Amino acid sequence: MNVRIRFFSSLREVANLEELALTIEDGTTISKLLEEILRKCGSNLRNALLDRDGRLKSYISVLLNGRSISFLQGLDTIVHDGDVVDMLPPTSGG
Amino acid sequence: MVEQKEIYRCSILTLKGYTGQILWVDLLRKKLVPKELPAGLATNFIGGRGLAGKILFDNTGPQTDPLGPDNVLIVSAGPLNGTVFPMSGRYVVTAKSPLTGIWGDANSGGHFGNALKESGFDAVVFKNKSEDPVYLFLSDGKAELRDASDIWGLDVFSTTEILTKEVGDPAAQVSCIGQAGENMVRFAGVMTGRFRAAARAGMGAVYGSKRLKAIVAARGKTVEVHDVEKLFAVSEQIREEIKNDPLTKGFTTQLLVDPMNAIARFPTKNFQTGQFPNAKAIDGMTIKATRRVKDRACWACCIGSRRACYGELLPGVITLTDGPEYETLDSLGAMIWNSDLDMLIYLNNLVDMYGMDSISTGGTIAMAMELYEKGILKDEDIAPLTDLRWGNVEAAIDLVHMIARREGIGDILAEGTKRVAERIGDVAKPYAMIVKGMELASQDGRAQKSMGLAHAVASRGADHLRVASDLDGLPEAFVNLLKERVGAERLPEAADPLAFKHKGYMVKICEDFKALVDSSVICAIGSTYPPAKTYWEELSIALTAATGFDFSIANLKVIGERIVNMERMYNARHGLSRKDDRLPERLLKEPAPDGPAKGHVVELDHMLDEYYSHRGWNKETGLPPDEKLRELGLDFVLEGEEG
Repeated sequence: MNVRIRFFSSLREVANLEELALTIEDGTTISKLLEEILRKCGSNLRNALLDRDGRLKSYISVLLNGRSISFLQGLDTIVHDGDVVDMLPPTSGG
Repeated sequence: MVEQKEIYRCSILTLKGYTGQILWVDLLRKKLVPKELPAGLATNFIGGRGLAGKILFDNTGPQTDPLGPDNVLIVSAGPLNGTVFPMSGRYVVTAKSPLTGIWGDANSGGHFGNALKESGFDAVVFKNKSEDPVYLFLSDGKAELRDASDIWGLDVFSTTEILTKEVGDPAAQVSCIGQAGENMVRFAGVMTGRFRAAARAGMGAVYGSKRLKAIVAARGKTVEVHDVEKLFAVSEQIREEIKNDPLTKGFTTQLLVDPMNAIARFPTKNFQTGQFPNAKAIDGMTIKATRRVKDRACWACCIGSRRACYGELLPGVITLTDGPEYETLDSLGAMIWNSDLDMLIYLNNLVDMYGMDSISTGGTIAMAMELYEKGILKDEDIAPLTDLRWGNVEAAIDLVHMIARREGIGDILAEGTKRVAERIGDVAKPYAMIVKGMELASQDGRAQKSMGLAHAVASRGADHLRVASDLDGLPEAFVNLLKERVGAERLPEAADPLAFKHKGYMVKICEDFKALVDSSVICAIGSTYPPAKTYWEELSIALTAATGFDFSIANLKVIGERIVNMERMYNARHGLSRKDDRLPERLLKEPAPDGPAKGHVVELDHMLDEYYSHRGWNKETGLPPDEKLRELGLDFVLEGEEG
């Protein structure tokens, strides 16, 4: 199945691309998808997304079809064919 | 030439962190009277917004014409300005607002906040109106009114340059107005350092109404603090945290365009939607890659959020500016369907040069464009312009000139959205995106419910900065911070930007803290924008170390609540109540058409009930009961009512 990953703001610069299209297996979680993304992209993105312990950094928001995974099943949320995953810094201030 | 009157220092308050002097200026009689800062004013209202607010409350009321001589204008700093505390260069301008007719204040970054203190004053209060244009020069605890006839009519940039040279001190800081303030455009701002704006609520028009062109503060005196080691230690702790945080270090509000647009919180075409298809063309990363010159910082700032950049309007015609900030990228970008970055930078420069609030300027032009789209404004109404279609940036540029100079339709738009709608009639009112007469900031509350509530209840009208920041934009990993601030029992709903539950509590605690930020006076960036590094504990340590007074956390929480309640009661004296805590019908009844917020409206009444409940206010009236006011030490409010 196919999913799209979009990078926003400073993450777009680090990833050096706006959007990534991936073909993945059924039942893939956000956590597994992250591994796939990092396999495809360079070490810059790994450093930007993960902390020293290999966990997703605290300030990165992940949206699945516009909804924060915080209100789904977090990193265990399963993605489906045609889903759009957005990665962005906090949306706060003005 | 205005007669020069020198003043001399009076006795100094025993508290440190303050100069101990408030200067009272009678502009009609040219009298300059320094008065000792009352200790109670400092310990009960801190400084900045709180201190000025008490003076405004005591000296103006429903009968005060905001543009008349009876209005008072207060320019104030706080105990942290001029110290080593991070991001402490801000100052506050307060008066009854000519835009809204109620509470008005605005604050700005730069270096004026510390310069005011270094010149020997915590605040200056202006009364009456000068017959001739004047500016006030402050230096070494002395003050002098000087003739400004030669610079009346000049823009902000020229005024700043000329006055800096005239006082012979390149480090002196200028707080001034451009032509918009002189012409009493109701959303004129007060500018410092050329590009930094105390923009909102028309404080520049109050300068203009008093024929006050500028205040120049010469730096020099050291601000004495009570415990320099403690203040230094907490400042270093915050600086270190910021240095090690990749998000806060290098933060600029320009970077918000892209993510705000992603969640549909980026108002487009006068709030018709929250997503702008061309947002990437005007976002922070595009500016950084193509237009950035350098990053700049205000006093004691370790973030450097000001991005100096350039635009090329025509080949070889370069505009150099600070910013534009997020709000301007929306108000003069998406709101008017403008994705031409060079034009946007030019527009940003223009509103700074004239001294106007970019949010209200863009909001007013966006409404005019929508009225034109709907056929309510016709070609004959907008002459000499020939069309006002969305994206007609040349027309927007013309309108900025016409508003600042009050020419043609610009004279009507200079009155602000509310008065434009009232003049046209009921048919125009649905397109006035205002609360209490002030244009909405660039935050679509349908995509972030806390922002909807914040705009509805803020004391100076539609306002994102009375809360800044909302906590419901935080990623999952901030769950512990959220638990600490709003309580585990309020999760997960409190953390969900699209849920309305618990947002009353969230807005209440954020408002109380922001009142302290604005009174200290420090910047929202690094103190309230998550991941924030300054909260009650850090402020308590810093304010106590700076002043020597026991500003405990419990004490500060009461002060924050006291300031919010005082402002509420000021507006209540003007007849405001729950009925005025109202968002435009568009946000309440028209579901967001795009993005993650699609289908959402703002459930305002639910949130208001909860908010009033946490505030201890009457749910029917939206006002504090007498016992609440007494509990907060606001007995003087009741005395005023009884009197």
